Amino acid sequence: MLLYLSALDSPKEKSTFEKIYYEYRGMLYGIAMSLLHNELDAEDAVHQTFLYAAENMKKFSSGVCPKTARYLVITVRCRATDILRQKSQCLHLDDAENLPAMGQDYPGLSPLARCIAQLPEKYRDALILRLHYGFEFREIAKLMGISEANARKLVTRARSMLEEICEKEGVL
Amino acid sequence: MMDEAKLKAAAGELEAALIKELPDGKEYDREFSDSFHRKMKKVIFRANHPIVGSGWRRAVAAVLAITLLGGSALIVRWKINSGAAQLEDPKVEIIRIEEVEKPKKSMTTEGLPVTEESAYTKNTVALVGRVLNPRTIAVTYQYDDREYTEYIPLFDLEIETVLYDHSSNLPDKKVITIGSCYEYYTVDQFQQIVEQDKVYLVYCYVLTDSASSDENTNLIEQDKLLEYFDCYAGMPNMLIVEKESDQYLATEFFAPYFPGVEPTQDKKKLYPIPVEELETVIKNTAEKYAP
Repeated sequence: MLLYLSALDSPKEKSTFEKIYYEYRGMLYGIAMSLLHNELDAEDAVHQTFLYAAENMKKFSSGVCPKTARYLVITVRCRATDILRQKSQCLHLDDAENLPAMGQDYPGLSPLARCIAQLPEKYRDALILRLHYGFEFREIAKLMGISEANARKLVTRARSMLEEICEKEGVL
Repeated sequence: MMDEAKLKAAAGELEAALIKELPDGKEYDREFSDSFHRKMKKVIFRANHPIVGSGWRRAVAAVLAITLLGGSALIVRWKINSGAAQLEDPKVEIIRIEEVEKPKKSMTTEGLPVTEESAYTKNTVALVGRVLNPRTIAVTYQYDDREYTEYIPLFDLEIETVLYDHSSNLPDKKVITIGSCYEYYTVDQFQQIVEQDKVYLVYCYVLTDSASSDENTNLIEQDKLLEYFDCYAGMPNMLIVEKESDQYLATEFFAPYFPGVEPTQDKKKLYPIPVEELETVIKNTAEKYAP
């Protein structure tokens, strides 16, 4: 520990990672706290999120930008949900995965985009990572802290849930 | 079946809306805990030095043990020549070192993989002896206007046998002091590995060798160190083995040398191996790696 700390002692320009860290740590903490309601657990989720980022810096090479922020937000939510699940015996996997998406009302969006917004958060995020950011399943798995098989399942289920929503809403 | 192009466009549209909704981090700005700061500094270092390998980490372990046991007000200058990192002149001041009765848990990180080469590398020795006086020291140091305390386990070993010696500086003493790098193990975990008056086989590094090794570290101001510490066990979970009358309870590191031996059914899954057989294997393997 001592030496790791020492390594950071020299005055130099902040690295891309440090810029990301200082920019987003507060926001990530806030999101983690809103899910966990426990300061230490929230810090743990934030730490795990940045650990993922440190190990996958290629994904964060664009530095401080909306894309980076979204990757981190999705990651911290997943890590927080994992912590919640570990701590609470009564919160089952399906409950955790089906946490409702926040802010589902998007009046300016196309009908299809609004249908995607109705998906539970984890499904919605997995689908966006896959469709919009072009993540491979293994990359989704890493970011979300799940197995590759589960990442595939998540996206597949997201698609079928979306079809149901679209049908119900009369979209497509 | 949905139109994939339309779906992608819709996902992008929603993503743009979600980005607009992202909260402003400043409203959550807070004072994070010391523990968080310390963990994050490690993460930042890892992010900034992505090619860091196990050799570097072992060097850190070596320097760490030496640094922390070097005495009060010790300023350490060190350098790692692995190519992954060039770190010099940290300003870390150790304020005090004291024995403690009930240590708090130290932090844990993942252990290093143990290979034959790493176990028998130069500067290592394998000793068999009785453990005396297992204890913990608390090291308090100052960094960046903050005071930190870390806990390090130590024990004395009354040497019965030296199985091999790849060091030229093993102290000529009947009882030596061995510690472990807290970076890899909690104090609690280490204390479960060694118990008072039991006999163990211990692989460890000789401190003076590690301290002067150009390959890994370049330390100065080490003259006080030997007052505290002779050797350190870098991988205690694999390379400290209990001796129980005529057999060793070997860890899985030794299992490949004895393919017919089944592990115990308890949680520890140790391999009972006759003393003479394990010692012969160790001596023969050590010859392969003799400096």
